[in-house]
Amino acid sequence: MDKKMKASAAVGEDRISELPDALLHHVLSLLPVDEAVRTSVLARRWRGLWKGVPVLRLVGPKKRFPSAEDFDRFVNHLISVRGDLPLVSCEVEAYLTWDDYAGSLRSPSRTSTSILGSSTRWRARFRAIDLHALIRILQHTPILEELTLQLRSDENFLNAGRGERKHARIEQTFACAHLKQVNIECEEKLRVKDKVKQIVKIFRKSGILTEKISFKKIPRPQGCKLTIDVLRDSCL
Amino acid sequence: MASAGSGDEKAAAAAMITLISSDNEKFEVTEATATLSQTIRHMIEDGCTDGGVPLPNVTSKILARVIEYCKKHATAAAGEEGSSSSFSDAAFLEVDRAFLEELEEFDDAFLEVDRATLFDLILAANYLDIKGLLNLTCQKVADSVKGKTPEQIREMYNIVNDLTPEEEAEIRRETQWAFE
Repeated sequence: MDKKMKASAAVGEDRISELPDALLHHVLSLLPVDEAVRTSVLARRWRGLWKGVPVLRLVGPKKRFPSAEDFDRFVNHLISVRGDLPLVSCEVEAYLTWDDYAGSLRSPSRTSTSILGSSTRWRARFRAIDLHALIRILQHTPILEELTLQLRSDENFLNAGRGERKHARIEQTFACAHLKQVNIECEEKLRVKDKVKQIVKIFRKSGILTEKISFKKIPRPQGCKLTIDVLRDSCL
Repeated sequence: MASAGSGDEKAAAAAMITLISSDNEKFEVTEATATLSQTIRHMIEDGCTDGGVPLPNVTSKILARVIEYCKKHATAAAGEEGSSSSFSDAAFLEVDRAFLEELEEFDDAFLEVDRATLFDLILAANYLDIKGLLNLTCQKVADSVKGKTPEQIREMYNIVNDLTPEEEAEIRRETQWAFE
């Protein structure tokens, strides 16, 4: 592969910069956001190109940022530079440390209100399932219409559960007046079932009717992250 | 949810479509294979595929590769039918795992091409509107620049830095928050 790549490089054509904006946006959408931003210095063609990408991938914060505060600062900066350009999908991986489970979960402070709050109609999907984080995000997204939760008995699931045991009960509620459907996709495991019961209880307390909640069995997991897909009328 | 098997039956019963490359080479494919391309799907729906579908933007070399991809993925797509939303990966999980692994191996091998071919495939996937192929090829490019410095990316893709030193310094200042 590398040999072939070098052979074509010798020709000296800049094929990548010739791609139309939409295709370069597609490529940039597949990069972690900080890397997409850094392509601005490549050449004039690339300057500010990342801003038009309708997808934000705030992933792997622990690998990419030394502390939760650094990650938070980065996200806040990103939002202020990007403004309210169309956004179709946003993937947020929270910066988790063991200490966070004792307190509240550290997700970037402005993501839920600023990035997500600007959309008109959206669906969200969560894979990491710390209930405190889930409720916190739901509290900030009253416009949510469809929510999908994937519950799997992998390492992240167990870690999230560890934190919850410190809080015997979850008292907080949220108000999602537009929430029409909740899909719970879960593995058939005892620990998962307990969690599902807990979630259904929280939802009922927040006024979500049981009829709106549907269940589906899923096979074994691959990876675990928190994904929020935003469908915005203007982009469809 | 249709099983992967019923896709084969459907393909066997379907009509054949002739695709014509820019260099006038003809390719006979099943409708199931051809309709992985939304562009061709719309043409079939509009009933304008008699006498073949001319694809003036795609060379025979690239079209052959694209068809190879579509043939392999047509069966997977048959299993996915009915889920028109972008949330189809949940439905995808139900398709036989072994088959998915085989598809992944196919995709990996498929991407073993030189860079010029890779860009031709991206453009063809875009023109023919084949989402899976577009994602696959764009992902390959994204993976190749991941973790690289701007200098390494320029060298890898022959990008000529046409910024003046002042401009570059300014952009670096503007994006300093992403370099920290």
